[in-house]
Amino acid sequence: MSKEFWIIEIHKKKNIKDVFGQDTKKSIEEIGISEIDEVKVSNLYKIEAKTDKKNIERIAKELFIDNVSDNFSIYKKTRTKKGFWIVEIFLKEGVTDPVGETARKTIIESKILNDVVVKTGKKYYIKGKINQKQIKEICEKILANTLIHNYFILKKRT
Amino acid sequence: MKPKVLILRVAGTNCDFETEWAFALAGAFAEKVHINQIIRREKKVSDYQILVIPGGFSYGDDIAAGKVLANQIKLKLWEEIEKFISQKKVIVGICNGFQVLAKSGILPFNSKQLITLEWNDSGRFEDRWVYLKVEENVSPFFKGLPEIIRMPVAHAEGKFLPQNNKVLNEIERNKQIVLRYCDKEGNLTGYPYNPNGSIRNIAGICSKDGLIIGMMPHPERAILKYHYPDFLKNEEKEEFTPSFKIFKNMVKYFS
Amino acid sequence: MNYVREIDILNADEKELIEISEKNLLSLDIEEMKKIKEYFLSIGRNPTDCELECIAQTWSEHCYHKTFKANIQYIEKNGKKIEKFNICLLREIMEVTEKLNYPWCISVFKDNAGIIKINEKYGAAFKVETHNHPSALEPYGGAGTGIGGVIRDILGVGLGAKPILNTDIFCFGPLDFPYEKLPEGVLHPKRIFRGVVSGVRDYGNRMGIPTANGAIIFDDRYVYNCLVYCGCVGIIPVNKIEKKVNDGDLIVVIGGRTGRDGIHGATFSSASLKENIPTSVVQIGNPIVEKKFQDVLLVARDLNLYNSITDCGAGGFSSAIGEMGKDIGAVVYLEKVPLKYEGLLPWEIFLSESQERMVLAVPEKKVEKLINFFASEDVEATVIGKFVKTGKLTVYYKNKLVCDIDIHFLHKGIPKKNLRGFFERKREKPVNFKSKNIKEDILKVLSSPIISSKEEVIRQYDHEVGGRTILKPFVGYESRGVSDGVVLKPFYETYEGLIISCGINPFYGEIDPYYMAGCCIEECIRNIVSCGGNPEKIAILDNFCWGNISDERELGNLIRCVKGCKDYALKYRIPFISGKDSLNNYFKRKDGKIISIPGTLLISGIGIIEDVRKICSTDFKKEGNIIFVLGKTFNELGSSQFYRVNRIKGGIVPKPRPEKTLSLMKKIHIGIKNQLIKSCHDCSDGGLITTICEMMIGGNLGCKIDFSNVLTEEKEIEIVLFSESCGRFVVEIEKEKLNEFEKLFKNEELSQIGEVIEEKELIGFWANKKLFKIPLELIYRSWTSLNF
Repeated sequence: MSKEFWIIEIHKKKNIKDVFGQDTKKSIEEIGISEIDEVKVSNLYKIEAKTDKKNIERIAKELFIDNVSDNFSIYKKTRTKKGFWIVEIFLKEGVTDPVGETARKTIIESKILNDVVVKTGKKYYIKGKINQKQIKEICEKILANTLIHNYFILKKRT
Repeated sequence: MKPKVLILRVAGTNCDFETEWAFALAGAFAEKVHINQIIRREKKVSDYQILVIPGGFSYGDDIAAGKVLANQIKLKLWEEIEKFISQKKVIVGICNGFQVLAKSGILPFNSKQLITLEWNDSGRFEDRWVYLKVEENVSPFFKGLPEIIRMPVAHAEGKFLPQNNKVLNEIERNKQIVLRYCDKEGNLTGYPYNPNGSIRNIAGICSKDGLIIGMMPHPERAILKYHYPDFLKNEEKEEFTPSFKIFKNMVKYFS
Repeated sequence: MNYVREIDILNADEKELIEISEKNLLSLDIEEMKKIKEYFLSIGRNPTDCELECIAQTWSEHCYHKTFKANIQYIEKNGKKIEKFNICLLREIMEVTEKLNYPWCISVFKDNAGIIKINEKYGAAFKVETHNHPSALEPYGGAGTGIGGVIRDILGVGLGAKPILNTDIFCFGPLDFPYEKLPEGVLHPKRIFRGVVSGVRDYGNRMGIPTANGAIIFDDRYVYNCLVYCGCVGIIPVNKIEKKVNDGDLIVVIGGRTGRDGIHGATFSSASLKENIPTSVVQIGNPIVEKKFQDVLLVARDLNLYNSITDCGAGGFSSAIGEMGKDIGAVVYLEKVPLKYEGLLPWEIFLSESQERMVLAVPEKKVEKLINFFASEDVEATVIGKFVKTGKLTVYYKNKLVCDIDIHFLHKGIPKKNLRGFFERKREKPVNFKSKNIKEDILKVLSSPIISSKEEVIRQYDHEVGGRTILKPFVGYESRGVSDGVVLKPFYETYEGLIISCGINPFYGEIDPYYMAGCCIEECIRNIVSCGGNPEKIAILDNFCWGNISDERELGNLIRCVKGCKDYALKYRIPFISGKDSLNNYFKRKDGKIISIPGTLLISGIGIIEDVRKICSTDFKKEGNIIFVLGKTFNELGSSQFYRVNRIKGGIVPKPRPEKTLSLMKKIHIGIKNQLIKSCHDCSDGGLITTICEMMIGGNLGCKIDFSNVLTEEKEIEIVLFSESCGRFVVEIEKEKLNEFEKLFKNEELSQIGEVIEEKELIGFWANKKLFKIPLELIYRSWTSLNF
């Protein structure tokens, strides 16, 4: 088996307040982009290992999520979402990722995998009447610092 | 007998010194023990009467507050903890410790995870003094306390949240709620009196037998009257606070 | 693979030497490059990349403080009078401490932090650092690693002190700065602000150290260069202050691994910010790594497992090992250094500024025990070399010699700089600006960004972890009031206390940096005294952040400020125990225009008291109590907050009066100790009226004041309310203690101005005539109106 990437996305259950989504929405409005209906934020864990999806699921379920407040999904390629712009942000190569390191250690300690690299990221779902230029502005002024982050924009599916 | 208190340390624990001091002052023999010492079998949990998981940021609170330590307890210390509980010994989780007890399922029923401590409604870490209503509860450690007491909270993830109403009602019915956030008069009101948006203002709970305690506020930071933010105005007579009495009660329980 | 590059300087002419410096981001000037060439000519070979980098780091402004050590020709013009003399800035500051020669200043200007004695067994260490450039580029990471760095300074002072308090002081651009005016590559002040606050919060809170004192200043000139000061206080047993590397001690690195991060940090932070910056200079910290070794380190200290320690900060191993081995010599084997990832060149390993690392000198027979001890709590400790009496810094990588330079040359070879500074005193003239609406102006001052409440920020810091915080940042009713400082009870077993506060006001420097220095020193002492501190048991730290000091006028301003520091510290009889400077905080715009920060001096102070139970807070305590102003008010509205909110330039800057104020402060100390004074708050930014409003907010009580009773040079309402004259305090006294109070303050300047009332309003009179009435609710709302 060769090394593969999976992404575990952890998001709040529907009835749980997404405090970071609300904060981000406020920040976007402060830079003068007011046509925002909703922002949702998920945590991403990019898992690099020789394994299968079942183990990745175990990692998410047994080690990462909070049974009361979180849901998760696993994917390899980000899919678009109807009505939402999607932005994914990861730290650049070589930038310290303390959470990724802790996640790696807890996976190894659990013995689910014995060789793994974890990188953490954030995923933003942004709903509203905005264009490509504005979404780029949001990324550079609020969500990412291009000195240390890479960001990817996925166009809104209509 | 002087009870032995094990104050569990891991990477990121940071309220261990003041917790040790509070227990020592209350008459216990308190000892800070690193989790590795237990895993390496240099120390045994069973040699102690009280196990404390103190405040801090265990493993940086990475992934979620207390989550990694909860995983570790389930993976590595489970047998010892189960035995400790079955012997009717005492477990206390303060702040980060409460998060660990909730996420490992030890509270409220020692089963799978049924409650959590979510991000504060403000989305931020906040340090502030709160009023707490001492509820009628099954725990022996809150006896003889005034109806309303004060201590600080200092956390980012402290919003008490049950999985569903069934869990919540059961905890209430069992008198497992020990502390609720309130205002000066004891009314259960909103922010900032309820600093994090906790459901039904719940600040601390206990197990069915009252011997396992989990609370977000920090009694160990409110031991002396000089800890009160307004001690210069309200000239309290007692040198020690009601919060200190909680530690006293635990020590007394074993003597 | 060829790991080592030889750099040809032996054949380089002056132009080429400068090119080499620029191309390699060395920030060395021509005199320095020539000196390096001279050295290598004398040993008959070219330097390696590692050697050149190592010298550049050691000689950088950040590490060596060349400007403060330089020989400066200073010209001061005052009208027609011209003074001319030579000055060394570091000498000026150190002279204060030498002259005062207090026995309780037990380690000053030689270690990572200054240390004063608390009692026979323990000392308190204090250090304040800046992390400006990294915070401007990556606010979260920059501020976090700033606090992480200063904590390591405390862990590395003597044989290691236990950190018990963090302080932070920030200067930012206005939060409502227009986006369209921001040059490309400059982050908006709001973003910097939020990132910096989160960075300090997440790092400090995770370290389990309370953050409980600070200040935030806003001004347009900080848009391009924000200032982030991070301080840390620690306690250390007095028998752990001496450290000494012995011949044969092993070099052990503990904590985090080494990566490419932070390379060129020291040289970078000594230069100005331009519009293009390399990525490698910014980094994210990992507080838990630091927390882990902090826990073990202090136990290892008490087991005497090592002889010396220092932190790995700017300049990385090059700086840490070079400094520790400067009287001996060292051999380092870089292939032994644990790396985050492969592919680093030897010079990168040696110069990397990866966070959370410290270097220890460990006797060979204890090294196994030490390594096992650290490993028991999952902290990596690795032997990477040895201190040996060779007089050289020798570095190998996989048996290849990559650096072999004379330690003496490295530390003493730097050519002394000769600089020139010029200062011209402005003629200060009163402006006599009249308020159109006093009530409105009061509320305007209260809601100005500098005066208004920073509660939203401060609450995000854990300010009482450790259970040592007695006087907290918030006091009084619902903890709404503000403190002048923080009082800590460092030991659980005793009631001894430390009081920490600061003084900063860059605006006074626009008129005269000399008086700015005096005002900052006095403000810091005043704050400590009004919490109950003893003015004879306070030590201070200086932190100068300045703009483009290659400009003779800006350097002149700095010299004038240092002179003020010296003169006033001597007059208040307060010693400096540590200090730091961060120069070249300026931004070069695309059009070539240089924008400097205003010269900013931060004075941080630490006071020692016998009993934390006998302190004082700023909140009014009880209706019926009498309110006094201690000290005299002058027409000193220059650069005041009142003038700033009304956009008035000029005026007269406050002039401290040390003799008067020192005598007053000694009596305040007695008054608080005897619990005669119920509340006490000093007057500073925003004037007397701000002080009174803050005391009302904290007390949730009103007051009735006749402002015409305030002892003043000129009986004008604007002066009485808003002047920022030094040496003034507002105190609250119980009626039955009036005689005792007046007896204590006999011969002092004092005026009885009113009383505390139950009605929640401020009622202002002038010669018995009612001037205004402002509800407390409105005062509170204005004061908390700043939107972060």
